[in-house]
Amino acid sequence: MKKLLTYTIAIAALISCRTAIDIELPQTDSKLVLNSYQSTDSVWVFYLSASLMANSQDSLEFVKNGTITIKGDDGSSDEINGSQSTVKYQIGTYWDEFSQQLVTDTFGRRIYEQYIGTTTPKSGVTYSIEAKAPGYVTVSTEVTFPTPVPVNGVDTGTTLSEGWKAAKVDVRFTDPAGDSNYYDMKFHYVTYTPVYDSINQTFDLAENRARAYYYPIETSFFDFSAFQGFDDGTFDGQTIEKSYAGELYYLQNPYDSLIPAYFITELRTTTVDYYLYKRSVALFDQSKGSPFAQPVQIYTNIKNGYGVVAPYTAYLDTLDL
Amino acid sequence: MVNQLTHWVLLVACLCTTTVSAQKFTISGFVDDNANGEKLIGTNIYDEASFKGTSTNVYGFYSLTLPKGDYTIVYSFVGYEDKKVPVSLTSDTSINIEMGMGMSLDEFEVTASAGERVEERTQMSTISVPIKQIEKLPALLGETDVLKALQLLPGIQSGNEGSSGIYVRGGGPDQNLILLDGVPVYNASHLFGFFSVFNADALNSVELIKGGFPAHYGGRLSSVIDIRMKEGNMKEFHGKGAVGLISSKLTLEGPIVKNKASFIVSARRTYIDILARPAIKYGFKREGVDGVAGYYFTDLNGKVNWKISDKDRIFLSSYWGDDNFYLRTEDSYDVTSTQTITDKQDAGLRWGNITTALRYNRVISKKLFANLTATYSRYNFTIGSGFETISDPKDDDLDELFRFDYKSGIYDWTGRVDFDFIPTPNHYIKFGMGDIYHTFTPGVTVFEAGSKDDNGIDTTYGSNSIFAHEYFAYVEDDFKIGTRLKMNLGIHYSGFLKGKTHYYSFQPRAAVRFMVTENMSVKASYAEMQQYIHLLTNAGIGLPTDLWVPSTENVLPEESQQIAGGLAQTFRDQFEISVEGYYKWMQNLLEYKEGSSFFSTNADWEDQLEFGKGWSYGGEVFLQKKTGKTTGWIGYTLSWTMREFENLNFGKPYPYRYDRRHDFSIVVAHEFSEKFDIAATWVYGTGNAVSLPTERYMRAGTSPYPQELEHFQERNGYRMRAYHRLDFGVNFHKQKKYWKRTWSFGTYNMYNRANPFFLQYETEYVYNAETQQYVEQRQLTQYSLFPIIPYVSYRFEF
Repeated sequence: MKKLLTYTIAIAALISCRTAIDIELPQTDSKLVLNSYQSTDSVWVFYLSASLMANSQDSLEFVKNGTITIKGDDGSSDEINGSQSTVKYQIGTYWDEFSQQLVTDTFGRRIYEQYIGTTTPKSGVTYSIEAKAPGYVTVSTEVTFPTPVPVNGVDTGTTLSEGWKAAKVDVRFTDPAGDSNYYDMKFHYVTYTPVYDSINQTFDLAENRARAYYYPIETSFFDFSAFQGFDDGTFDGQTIEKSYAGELYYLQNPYDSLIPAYFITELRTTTVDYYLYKRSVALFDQSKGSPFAQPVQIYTNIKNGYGVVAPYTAYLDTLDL
Repeated sequence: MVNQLTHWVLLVACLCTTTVSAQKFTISGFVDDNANGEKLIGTNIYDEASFKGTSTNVYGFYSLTLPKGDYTIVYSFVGYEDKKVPVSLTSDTSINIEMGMGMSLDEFEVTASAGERVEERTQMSTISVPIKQIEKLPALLGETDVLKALQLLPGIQSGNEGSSGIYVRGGGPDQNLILLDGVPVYNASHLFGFFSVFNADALNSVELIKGGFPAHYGGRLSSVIDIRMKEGNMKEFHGKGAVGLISSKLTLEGPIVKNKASFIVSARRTYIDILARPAIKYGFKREGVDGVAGYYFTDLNGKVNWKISDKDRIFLSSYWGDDNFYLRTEDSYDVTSTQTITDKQDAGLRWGNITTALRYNRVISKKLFANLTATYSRYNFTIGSGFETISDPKDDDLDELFRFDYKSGIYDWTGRVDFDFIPTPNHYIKFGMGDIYHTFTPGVTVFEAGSKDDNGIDTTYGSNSIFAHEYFAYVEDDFKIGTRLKMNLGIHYSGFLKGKTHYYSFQPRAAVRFMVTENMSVKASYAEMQQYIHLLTNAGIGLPTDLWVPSTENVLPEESQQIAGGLAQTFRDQFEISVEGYYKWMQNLLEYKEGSSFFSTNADWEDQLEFGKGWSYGGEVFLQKKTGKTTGWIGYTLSWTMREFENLNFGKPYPYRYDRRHDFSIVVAHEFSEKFDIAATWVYGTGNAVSLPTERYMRAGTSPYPQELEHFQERNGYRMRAYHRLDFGVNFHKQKKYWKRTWSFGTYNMYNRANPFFLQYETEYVYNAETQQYVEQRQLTQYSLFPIIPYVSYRFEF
């Protein structure tokens, strides 16, 4: 399919005339972009950057000298002046076909520019958040953290998914009746690698945490999207079981039971802002670069700016492997 | 609903009342071309003294009822010599007329009706285009194209550069009922929309209606394009053909039984794939593989016409068309000294139409004409690719197979009966009914993977076939009140039945014309339309991958209401001018959801839809010169077209992609002599509305590297550059001993205007001499399709 598409576009490109043109786009001032996927399990963490014109040659940059204030309707408050540079190394876990096992590797040096608060948000509280920086219009938003919905149970097994033998995970939970509720489902695979400490002459266990990309079993494999969000429109107030399928090895302990391994189901109770933003970003990723797809307008809940403050609460179900 | 129907039927019935105060008799019959026996549709027939008259219908039949007495009946058809027949009317009389060519048909002409002046017709927003005039227009690559000619008329817009898509008064491409001999054609495009499927050599007439729809049409919101095939020369065997840059065609016609039965068959095929094959194979060979790629289209029209008696006729017509884009490669190599692997790849995109119509005409009485029609129409397309690895000697671990095919289509079986009832010269009544049995296959994916001989994956998913009935009935009367006022009132009833889902509607239609002076009239019309089948089309490049889908429990029928008003005038007997304004409301329109395209292989197409409304309004001016050595027209449209969908553009109204504020066209033809004539067209249009990102920013997430998102301020909020181009052509005719030949030379886009095809942002790496580094440079790039393109073609007739 891609090859056919490539040839089609190549032929069109060959017979077409390509011209770089100067376009007078409507001039707009650079706006603040405030981003945060925030749970009640950690202190406030934000990313602040600035937008650019689409035809600008500059690179996107973080805004490091801003101020972010948070005020809760429970009287709590927090203020963050300036970002902190945190150095981290990327840890990647991948399946090695040759050795038939998961391999963890450390690479890359990353500098995260984060606005890190000192307080932790709470469920049920509404927070007013404002970000300002010299030379930019102040942006703001208001979010409420939902009450986490617990997982009633998780069953695992195998299934035949479009001809492939795949792992199957059934997740049960009960949706609170009444208001519209939004959810996101994530799966994690935690294993440990024995590491020898030659100084102390001891063995330690290094944790490897990987995302297990499972997809809803009723969708096609070819429509797999990283966003597993959904709302309760079809099951409001009911107990529901959602089934997912994915790679088998995420349900297997590579060291049998000698060293612990876990399969973690994370049910996120989110908000409409989280849902709409992530859905629009997923659609954007799927369609980017395709001349056949409809344009996607990214959702934002930031007044006078862009980005999203997307609150959620998480319930974790841990399965020993 | 029943009361509404009752009121309309009673109104029509009252207006049909005739009081017989004198004995009346009817003259009826058929009007043919004396050279070939073709029906002359729209011939004006009238009493020379009183001007009471009628016109022939699409089968060349007429009926004129007058009081007993002596008359001179005039038969008049543009381009033919008027015939005057003295009639002593003492009983019902059959008079069949054969008319001969009078004025040269090389005179360029677009008329509101072949026999009536524009101000005389009740119907507004209707234009007939003679095929002979279309053949004179300069054309892309020399290919005469009926739909491209229609795009030169006011109120009609083309889509993208080179596209045969028709957008009428703000409507979408699926809102046009395109009929070939009464059979709907679902995809009227070859070569991704650059040419239409209609071979002009096989056609007799083209009529376009863009508003004030008469009640006998229904099922689409925005236009009716009624294309009639020739019937074949009843008297002599003839042929014509053409050899062009990319295709050739041949048409043969003649009598099967002289003056009783005739046939016409017309075929066309491109051959650019054959000509380019050696070069393409050489290109693949240089890459080390055996391969071939190409594209062709072909179409075949055929018709048989049998005049059983003066009262009975049978027609059988058929069209078959096929587009095929293919790619095949094969690569063999040795993996060891004893084992060879062969990799085979193929990819293809194929689509096509088949239409067939069987028609029976019966003159039931002098005043009543019936037409029974059974038709079949099929459109489908397939896109697929495959990859296969074959080992020799066979090794199951090395053999692989992967195949992906996506198919979609629509199939119709139709039966209908139509009556023309002409009780008096003041009334022309039409009524009829019919049913269409639809079969939809909106999108089925077949996926196969693994080794050929073992149990790999072999699965089919997507929408199952959907079956539905679309039925209709109508009645209308075109009648005169006094000498100045003429009206056409009618009602079209239609319904759609799919499983337990049933939709139906009564659609009133009204048109009125008032003669202000002898040469000027004012007109107004109102029409409600309903559409039960829909086309899901991609926002970007037009491809035949658009899906035809039905109304369902979740997908309501589209509806429209349109009012129009205007005036029409003929002056100096050469110029016709019409000025019209319109307003159209549309509901239950469909669009793909954000990010969706037909490539989204979700389980169900219904999940990919958004529903909304639209409105369009504007004015059109049309000035044409009909006679003389120099003929042509000027058309101008000023219009606005908007859409509003709750989940698109954040619920705010936005311009339709083909919202074109100004649309202007000039068409001129001049005949220097019988041997030499020229024609030129110049078109201008405001650029299409597109969605362009205006800003970019970082996305949320924990990655430290800025991953970008693009911000679209407004859907379709930006205008591409204006579109304009000049085409020019010359024709040299020569009568040889046994045939007539024409050399045509011309140029498409004479001043090489780079008209936009699509826009996108691209990143290039540009060397910076100061920093001596390659830096990323982001720029908006416009792709244009057709530069200046000369053409030459050779046509012959015998």
